[in-house]
Amino acid sequence: MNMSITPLKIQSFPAPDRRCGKGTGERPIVSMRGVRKAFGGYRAVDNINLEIFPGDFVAILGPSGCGKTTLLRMIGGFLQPDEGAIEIDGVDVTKQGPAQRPTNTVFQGYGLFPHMSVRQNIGYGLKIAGRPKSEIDQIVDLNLGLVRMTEFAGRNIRELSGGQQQRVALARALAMRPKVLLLDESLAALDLKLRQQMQSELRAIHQEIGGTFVFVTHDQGEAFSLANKVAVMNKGRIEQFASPSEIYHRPATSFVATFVGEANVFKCRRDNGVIALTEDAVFQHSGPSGDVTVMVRPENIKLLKDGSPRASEISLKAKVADKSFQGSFTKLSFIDDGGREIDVNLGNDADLARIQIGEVVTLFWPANSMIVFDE
Amino acid sequence: MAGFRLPRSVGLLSPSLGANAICFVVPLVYFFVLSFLQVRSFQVVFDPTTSNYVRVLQQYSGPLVSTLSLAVTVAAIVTVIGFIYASACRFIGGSKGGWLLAIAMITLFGGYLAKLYAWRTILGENGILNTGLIELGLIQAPITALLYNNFAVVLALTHYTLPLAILPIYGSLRAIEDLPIAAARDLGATDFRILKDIIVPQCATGLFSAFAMTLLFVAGDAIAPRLLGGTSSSMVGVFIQDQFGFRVNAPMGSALAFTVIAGSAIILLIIGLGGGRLVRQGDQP
Repeated sequence: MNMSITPLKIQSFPAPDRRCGKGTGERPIVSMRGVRKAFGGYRAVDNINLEIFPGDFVAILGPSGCGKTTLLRMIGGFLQPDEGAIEIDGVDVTKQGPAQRPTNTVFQGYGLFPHMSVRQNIGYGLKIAGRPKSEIDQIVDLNLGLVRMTEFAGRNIRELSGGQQQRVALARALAMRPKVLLLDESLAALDLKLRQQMQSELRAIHQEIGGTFVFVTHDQGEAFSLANKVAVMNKGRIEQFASPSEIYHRPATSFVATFVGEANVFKCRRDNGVIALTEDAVFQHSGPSGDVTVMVRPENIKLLKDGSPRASEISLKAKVADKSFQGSFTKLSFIDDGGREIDVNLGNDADLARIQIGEVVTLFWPANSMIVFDE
Repeated sequence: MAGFRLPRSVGLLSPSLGANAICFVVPLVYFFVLSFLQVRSFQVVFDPTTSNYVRVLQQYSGPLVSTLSLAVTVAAIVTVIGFIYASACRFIGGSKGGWLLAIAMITLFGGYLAKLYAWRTILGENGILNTGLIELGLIQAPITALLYNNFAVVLALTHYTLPLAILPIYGSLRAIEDLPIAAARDLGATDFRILKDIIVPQCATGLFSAFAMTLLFVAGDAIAPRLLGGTSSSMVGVFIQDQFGFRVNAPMGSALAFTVIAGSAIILLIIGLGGGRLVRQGDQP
């Protein structure tokens, strides 16, 4: 907020636009250490350590009640942590309120000022900051253009649709050029089409002006399509903080594996470095003996037409229980001898049409597509 | 579209329009006409004249001005205290706010006269306040300046009208959502700026109704000044009552009443326009 703004130049964020700040030795823009927050004995956020780097577009992803919104509110200053410290751009802001922090929030319910016009809403923060009127007008115009609301500048808030209000809320926060822009399930209230449109616009805005964006969502599609880093939260903890592809292909915990994308999960045992999914499907996997969870994605499983699987592949027999066309692929549900359900996503080809419900087929997948979690 | 809707909405509104006409418009028109007539030998005669209004301005301009200024004083005090109280009801979390409001509303159970007499008991020479202070040894002789003056009238009227003023303010504060307040704070607004830019503009209607209701009540009151006011604090309401009562001059009383209404309307117009401009200025970017 105290940075100098050159209103007519779009690149006015202080931070360079980089896709990922990890491992460069650069100072994080947001740093949380040992942050905890409880509401009447319920641990909403439990020992969070998180570093967000300048230019990052971070998604905080998790089921409802996982503490993601609490975490965001603590970054924004709307909630004080019970324990731990929050630093933004090298300054300890743990005790500061939202007004003092170089962050701005786009609220889920927008929080627009109903008695002000679109223009007045967007300019309000700048007016508080005491900027001259001509400068405010320039910045407001720039941000109206950014969210494509220029022709609505004089409108009353009550005359706008939900999607338009969303844009005004975004422009109002962007007008402050915050060091960190926070979005609290901002797109959740919009219908699918509008949400997708706003997602691509958000991505475009981030690419255009840079800066650090942190948003909360329960929608993994949204998290993956927007963010360059995703923090998956569960029960107040961050289970994994990594790039979308890493989270998808190398989930750190069985929660991440099942929450993100579809997964077939086998609960079984490892004895002396050998895991047996079924009597036949056995593979070697080093580690201590005990209960394990084995995960394999539906798209990695294939149907064996003839011959036998290679040594590097796992196979088992299962009965087709259900078959449903999903557009770009077909989802098949199988039940194996042990009564386990296995989902398989297959590309639509001619062979698929011949598969009948009730038929027994052999499924196989590469051993290295499985992920094993020790329980 | 409007052409089709109008008859239907008129139809739906007709009960309330009818009640309004019978209880409000008809009597007002009656007294308005009456205010231009005269009384001869205790009889109202149909001889239209403006002499009543001329006499009002000649004989009663002093009480008129003091009545309206007292009404503005009470209305201003009540609106400010009412806003503070209603804000507490609205912004104090949980059920506490509801309880605060309930407490204010419970005081409405006491009748108007009961409250006025209560103030006499409290403020009188041998009242609770004086005897209490003497008991405590804080004063030697009773303070007589507490009663029979404008102070006592303002105090009692403030007390009586406050809960009535809290309601419309509370109603408009209830309509203000928490999120815009949080957003204003996020954009750097201090508590004072939030009050000035976000809360007051959005409850301007409630503040104005509270002010108007109090002003009109006080400007027309004849009882509090009679019971608590001194000889110097004659309010127009007392004179109006006299004209309708033992002076048997209803036209004169009507003319006085309409002058008070006109004066109040002018004050409200000025405050409405001025307040509106102030509020609009507050949210210019």
